[in-house]
Amino acid sequence: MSDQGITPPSWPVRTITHVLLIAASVVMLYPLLWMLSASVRPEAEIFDSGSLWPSAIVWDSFVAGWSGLRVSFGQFFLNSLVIAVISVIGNLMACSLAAFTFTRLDFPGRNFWFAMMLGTLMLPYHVTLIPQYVMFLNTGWVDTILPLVGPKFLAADAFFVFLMVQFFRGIPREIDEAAMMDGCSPWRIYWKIMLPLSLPVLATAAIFTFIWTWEDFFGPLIYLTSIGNYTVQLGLRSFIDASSQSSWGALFAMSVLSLLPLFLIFIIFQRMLVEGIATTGMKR
Amino acid sequence: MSHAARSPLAGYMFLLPWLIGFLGLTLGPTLYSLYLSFTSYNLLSPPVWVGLENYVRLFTADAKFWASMRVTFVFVILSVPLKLSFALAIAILLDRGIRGLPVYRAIFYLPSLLGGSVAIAILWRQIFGRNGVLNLVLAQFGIEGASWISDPRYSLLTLVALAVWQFGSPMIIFLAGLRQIPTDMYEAASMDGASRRRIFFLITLPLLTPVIFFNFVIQTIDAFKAFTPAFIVSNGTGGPANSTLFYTLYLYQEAFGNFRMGYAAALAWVLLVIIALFTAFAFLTSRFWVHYDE
Amino acid sequence: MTLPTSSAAALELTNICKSYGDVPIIHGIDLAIKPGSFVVFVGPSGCGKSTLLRMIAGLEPITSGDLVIDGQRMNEAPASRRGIAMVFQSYALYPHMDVYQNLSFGLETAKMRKAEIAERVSRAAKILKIEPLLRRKPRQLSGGQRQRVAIGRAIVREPRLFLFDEPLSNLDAELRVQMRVEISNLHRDLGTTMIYVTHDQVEAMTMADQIVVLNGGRVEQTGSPLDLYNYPRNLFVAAFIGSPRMNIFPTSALSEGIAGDFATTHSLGVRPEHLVAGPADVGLGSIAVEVVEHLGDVTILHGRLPNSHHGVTVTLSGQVEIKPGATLPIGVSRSNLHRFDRGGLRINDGAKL
Repeated sequence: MSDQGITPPSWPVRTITHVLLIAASVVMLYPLLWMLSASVRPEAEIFDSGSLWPSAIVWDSFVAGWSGLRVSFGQFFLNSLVIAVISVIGNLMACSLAAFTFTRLDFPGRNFWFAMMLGTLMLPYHVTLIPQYVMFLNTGWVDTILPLVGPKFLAADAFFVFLMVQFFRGIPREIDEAAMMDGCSPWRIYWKIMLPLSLPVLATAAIFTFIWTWEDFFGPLIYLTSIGNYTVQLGLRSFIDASSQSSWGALFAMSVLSLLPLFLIFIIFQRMLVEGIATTGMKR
Repeated sequence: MSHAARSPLAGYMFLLPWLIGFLGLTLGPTLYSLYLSFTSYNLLSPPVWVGLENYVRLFTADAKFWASMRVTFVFVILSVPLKLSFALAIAILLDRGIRGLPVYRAIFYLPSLLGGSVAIAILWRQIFGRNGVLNLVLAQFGIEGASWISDPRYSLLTLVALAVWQFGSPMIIFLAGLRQIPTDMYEAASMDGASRRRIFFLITLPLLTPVIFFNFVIQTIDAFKAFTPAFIVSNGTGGPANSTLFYTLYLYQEAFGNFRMGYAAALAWVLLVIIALFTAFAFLTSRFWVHYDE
Repeated sequence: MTLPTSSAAALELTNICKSYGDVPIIHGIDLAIKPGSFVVFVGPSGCGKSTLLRMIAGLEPITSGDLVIDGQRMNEAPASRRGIAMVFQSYALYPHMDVYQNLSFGLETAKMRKAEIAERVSRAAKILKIEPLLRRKPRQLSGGQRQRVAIGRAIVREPRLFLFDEPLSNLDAELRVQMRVEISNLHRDLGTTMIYVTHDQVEAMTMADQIVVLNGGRVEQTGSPLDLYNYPRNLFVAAFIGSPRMNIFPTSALSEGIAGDFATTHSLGVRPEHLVAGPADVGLGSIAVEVVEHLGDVTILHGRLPNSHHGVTVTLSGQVEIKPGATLPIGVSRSNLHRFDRGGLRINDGAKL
């Protein structure tokens, strides 16, 4: 039914298609819009109707939520931001270096290590979870951000290595051969030629790293124990525990705030995200 | 490559960060967790070798393990086909050359992007709660809804709904796959007088099987690993009545609630074996239904 | 720069071999290239010409043999230390740098002073007439302009040896002719030794001082263009050089009267342009004309020999009125005959080679 190349569908078909798609869109967006409206309506009104339109816009929930816990949400945002930004830097550096090594350098054992790297793509992280936890416990890194960001500097996320390998393979070899004739060392080829030519994939990797780190719940749940170190996701979780039914508004307000950076990234980089998923075919 | 680039030393210098990570964070821990799975270990005293005891207990004397297996398999079996069906159906609608494609695509993708957040799980908890939005809407039609989240009959289904709601990323992959089917194939088929239905079943669908296969494998593995929604919706208990006790949630409880690290390691290895068996099975059967160009 | 007075070879290959694993690709090539000459490696695709060039450049390791540049053995030297510059088939310009940066990158890598870099770049830009393009990115350039920039990047390094890997194959026919002339001019102006790889024998014939015909990883023949044209050493070279290709007749395909004259000969080669209509030293009988191609300056006939129906191509100068289905007596002057033995090697008549 894919109709590129065949005659375009007739107007009844087009109309039905739009009706179906709009109906689906409403179902898809309704929960999100409802949460947004719940965050700005008076607390008492939240459980009154499924309507999306608040009777009045009040910011009480945001004020209450921001300092609803012992530590302000500002601290959680800062913690999340620090972790996400450092993770982005680590992933970009380490994964691009590994991908460069696998695609452009020639050394004994390369194919073996590359196969190992591919093998780790499917490995569920649960298998490495406990030994890693024991290790970080022994190094005293638990309740710091190091277990969360450190592995990124060792290209531990094979998905991004793979993503960059795919991109690097598309850069003609003759370009680095030309650089070699120009006297470049491998490092200079990596730094001056490959990285500048890889900006699209670096941007995609940066965006996905940011989003996934921002959303990550499991890692912080295990490694961050004191509330001052909590990320936004952990902060939200504590909010559920701490609050009774009466503060749903504040909970929704903070939930909306926690989604805001993701939403902004989505709006700004939508094309890059879509292309990134389409070419890599990855989750979320 | 030049001789500088070929030298083993340069190669391994460049590989070093990854190699340290691979050995220290992946291979080493994987092997160590295999060892731990044969021990009793509570983090405080050194691991004690217990042989196959953990595995024997898992399979013969642990009702919670079987409950979590059941929950996880039901989740996988319901959510993956539903999610992929929605993704494919919407992708096909979007591929009709209609106007507004980027807007629709953005709307359908947005839940996938946000869906991993705690905020969304919180939202779900509210929507399907006794006083939640769903029941408010149902009340308008005079229907009295259940307390979906706290009723063991429905709680897992709400999480299936949450997973299906996030069909956006397989949809985008399907859309890209549909785009790659060469136009002249359709033209040749319509020159041959094939009907639209025939074209869909004889051209579009077969040529899309590699993408379907890819999405199927990725989504299934992902579903096995689902954690956050179950944790938030049930406050980490897997309740009510273990009805949302996802495998990974049980693993988490054993490791970080009860500090039975050896037992949790055995759970992790069972998960690894399940995923490996599934993947191997998928690839073995793929040659019977996946159409590859050469 | 190579001194023109130097008597040593600019480049000397001795028994160069290359294998990938157990598969030999290049089987022992010996070659000496005179300073300042323009040498073309030509051969069908897969003959090893590009591999050989890349071995000289330092992009492929040499399995065995010696590579000597200006008297120094360079087998293990990295590409950048060999004093070589290369122009790639795809040009391989750095897409993220403008033309100036493309030219200066190698010099910066060599840590040359800024002033000297600027001077060299502007000199090269002047030679190639790309001065107005210096601030443009490669994607803003036409194919011909990219080609010039690629050559410019080679020139600025002032190498002692230029390598060209099928540099014109991405250009359209008209531009190719033009660039051919420009590269020849450049060679004349710079006087630097150049090695040029192509599969196009016309490029080889028009540009080279010396042609090296390669086939299956072996040198079939080395010589000046006219040497190869006039005295091909074997059937492969005979067929490869010249267009349309040389007619090769097994002597058994010729009428008995003629075959008797060539008792020791296994096959005869006659270039289409050497066949004449009407009486000649050696008459080949009347051919049945099947296809006639009018090119204006010449008329090319495709037909068959009378008895054996062996195909034959004839190039007649000028515009000849002839229709398919006609018969035409053809012949050739004895001096234009090429004779080959059973092994495909040329039989010399006491003449050169």
